[in-house]
Amino acid sequence: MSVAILFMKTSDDPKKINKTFTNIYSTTPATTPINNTEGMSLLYPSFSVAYNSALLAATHIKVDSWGNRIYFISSIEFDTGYKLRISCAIDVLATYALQIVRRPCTITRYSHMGGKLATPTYIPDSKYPLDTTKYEIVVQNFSDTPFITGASAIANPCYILTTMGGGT
Amino acid sequence: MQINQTIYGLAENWPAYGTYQEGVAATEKLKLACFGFDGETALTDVKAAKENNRYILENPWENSISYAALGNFHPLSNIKYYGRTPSTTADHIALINQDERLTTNFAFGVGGGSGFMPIGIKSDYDWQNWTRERWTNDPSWSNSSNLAEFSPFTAIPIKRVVLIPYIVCNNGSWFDGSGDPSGFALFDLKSYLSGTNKADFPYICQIRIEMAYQTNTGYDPEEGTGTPIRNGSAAMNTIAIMENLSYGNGLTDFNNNEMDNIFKPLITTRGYSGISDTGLTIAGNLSGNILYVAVNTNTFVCPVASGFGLEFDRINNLKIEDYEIQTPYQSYQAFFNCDVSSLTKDEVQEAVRRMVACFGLFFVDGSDDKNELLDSDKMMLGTLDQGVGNGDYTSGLANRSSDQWNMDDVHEIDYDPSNPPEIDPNAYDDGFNFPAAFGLGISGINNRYLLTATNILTLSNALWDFTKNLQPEDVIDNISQTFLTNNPIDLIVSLQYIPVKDISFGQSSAVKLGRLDLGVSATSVLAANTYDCGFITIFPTFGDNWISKNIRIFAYLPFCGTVEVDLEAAMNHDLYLKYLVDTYTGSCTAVLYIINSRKKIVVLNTADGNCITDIPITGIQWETLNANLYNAYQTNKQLKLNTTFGVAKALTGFGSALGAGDLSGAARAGLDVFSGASAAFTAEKISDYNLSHTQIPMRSIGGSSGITSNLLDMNPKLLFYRPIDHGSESFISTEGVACILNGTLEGLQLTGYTEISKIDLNGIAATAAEKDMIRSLLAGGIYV
Repeated sequence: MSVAILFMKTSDDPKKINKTFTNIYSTTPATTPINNTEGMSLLYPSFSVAYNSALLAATHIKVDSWGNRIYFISSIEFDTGYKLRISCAIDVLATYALQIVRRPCTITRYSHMGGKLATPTYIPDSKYPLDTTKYEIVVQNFSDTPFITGASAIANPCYILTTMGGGT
Repeated sequence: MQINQTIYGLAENWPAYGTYQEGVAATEKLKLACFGFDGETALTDVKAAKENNRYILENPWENSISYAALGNFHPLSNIKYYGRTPSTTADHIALINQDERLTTNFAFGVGGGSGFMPIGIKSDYDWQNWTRERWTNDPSWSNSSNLAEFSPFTAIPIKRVVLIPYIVCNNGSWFDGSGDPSGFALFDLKSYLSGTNKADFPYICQIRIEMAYQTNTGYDPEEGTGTPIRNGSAAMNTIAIMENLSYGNGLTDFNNNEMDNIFKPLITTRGYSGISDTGLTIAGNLSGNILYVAVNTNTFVCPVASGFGLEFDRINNLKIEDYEIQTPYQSYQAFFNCDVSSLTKDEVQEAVRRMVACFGLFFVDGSDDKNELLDSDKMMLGTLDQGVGNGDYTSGLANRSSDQWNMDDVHEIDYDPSNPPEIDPNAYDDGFNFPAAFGLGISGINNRYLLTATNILTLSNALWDFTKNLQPEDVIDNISQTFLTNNPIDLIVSLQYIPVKDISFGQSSAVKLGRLDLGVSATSVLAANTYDCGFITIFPTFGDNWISKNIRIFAYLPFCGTVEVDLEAAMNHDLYLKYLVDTYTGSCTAVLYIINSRKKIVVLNTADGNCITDIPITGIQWETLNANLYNAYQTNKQLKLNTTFGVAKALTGFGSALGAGDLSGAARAGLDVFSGASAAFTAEKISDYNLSHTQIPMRSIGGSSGITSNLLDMNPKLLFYRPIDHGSESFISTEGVACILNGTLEGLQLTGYTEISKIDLNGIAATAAEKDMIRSLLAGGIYV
């Protein structure tokens, strides 16, 4: 059995959904025989290909005949006979990127929406670096007070004398 | 606005301007509505919608007929039906039935004729029985020869009309002896509450509203340019309660006798031309002032609307349930009324204002205020909550915050009479009220004087110097005449220091102690006063998010201490502070409150303290001094008298003793005499000394209390304790912020770091293991 493999590379984070790939090299089925596949997983396949230095820059492969699955290249080993043994692991995010971004979901953290940086919401966030052990104290006066202060207290009537009587 | 052509047909086929009078069918009238402001009698006419920027109909079966609803407390939501129920022994007027609606749809309109009800009930046209049919399944319009149509206004320009409340009242003389009504008066609310009108006419029979509309075109109500001139008076004399407003089978088969397919009003109100026909009745007897107990009529029902604390449950001077009708049956005239003699003017004013406010339009207290600008202090605007008026209103600049301020017409009010909002009857917001400041300055028994520090010194000296120009023998008489007691200082109750503004009351007068003028003048003192200290806006410093909820707010309140303010309640509100100060005891209460969305005061915190310092004063205790002086003098006098004779007697004895030749005895006697004389001499000297050194008893009045509170800052403040935010752009970019969002990543336009707790993977052709991997990766955080 053999498959055509497209070797690609990307500098995107492995956890990025919409990765941007650059194609490096494409093999043909004739050039990419599959060894005895007993025990080989669809999710973790390995291939033997002829040595090609360009392949050493690849980070991903894509196998169209296997449901357009995209795989991480986990390791590249030099094999005898000028071959390279490529071990891979399924990259589900890249493989199903288009579907994932269109499925309804519940988001619990995000950093950007509509190109704008997110700001804290009404949901309490234990990860957020808010220091509640120290406080900045700001003082604001009300615009008026009923009390007479300072020097005004001397000039203003502030003494109440209560007496009895008051005849003519 | 879109013309509702699906119901009314094409707009170009509508009747043209001025054709109303020319036999326009009743159906056509409903298509044309305008509340004109060009000085014409537009209210009895309807004009083409297309001309002169008149208001045009939109969704006429919805809020163009009934643009708002009256709330649960309004009198028209609480109509009581009083009737005559024959009994075997006597007839009584009693409560037969009662409405209690959470909301009441209504419509203003033109209708009725002199003496007739503009509502017809399917009956035998005995208009005295019209209300009996009130409880039938299908009350309807009728156009018998005695009854007229009801034509509702379907457009009211909010800023060009003003409602004015009128009070129909009586002075207690209900009839003039001939059986004709007498003792009635009609006042607008402002006039009713001025002078002695309320006291002279304490029985209110009806509360009405008149609508003044703008009659010139040069006034812009929003900009306030030009002169309003709201002199037009709406010829409306009817308000219909339009509960369960429904649209019938269309207008094709509509005619004047079948209006029941279109409207199902419950009741209409009207004035009574016998008293005064000004305006619409919104409280009191809805069918006119007179309750007729008709002859040969088994039953009758009279609707009476009460609310907002004004109960019209009296007939003349009798309570309803006590009223009896004499037999045989006679025709009576009686007037339902509300006795407001026990209510204050403020209470009556507030109750009437709340009734008018429910209509959601501008209103004033007096007719002479109708041309005030829309944001002047005399202009009020009813507040609508989901289209329902609950009696709340704003005034002055606060009118600009009302929804209606930005509307041209009542159509813009978001209310559907066919689907009124569900109102929780317990949600009516009474809010808090602060009483008006009051003062109490009584003279003649107990005087309170407000003095400066300089006055106090002058006064203090006067307490010691008031007798210095008197002769000694006149002192005691003068004291008893000048003061009410022998101890002048007993006339002083207290001297207190209170550093509070604006507590002066009354005119300045001489400060007296008994009858003694102390040489200074002062005003009296208010018993208490309230102070508005302004407000501080509680702004979410970190944004409207959870971080702002970590802010703590403390209020420093002079003399009352520091209290923590409930952040959740105060956030996004203006936090107001009011002080209440009692000048008798010095107790002061600080009140922190907000204004909620219903424009009601909500008190969040109160704190108590004391701002008075007692100052002790001293003076001579004259009574005791006088007693001491008298006693000392009497003792001195007696001693002097006794000593003279005593010495003479002793000397006589001495001589006898010497003559006897017993020198020792004589000597002894002489010594005795000398001793006695010496003793007498000593006692006299002591008495002289005591008299001249009589102790002057002092007295101190008043306690003393700490003054240290006066050394602190006298300005009330808010202290905001804000946590330190170390969040940064790089943190958010790599960790994101907590949220609860639902949707798709693509639809929400999320990019960057994202964590997804749940995702629906239906429709993705992936193996189960792959789907598990997808979920796991998304939950752990990925980059979109």
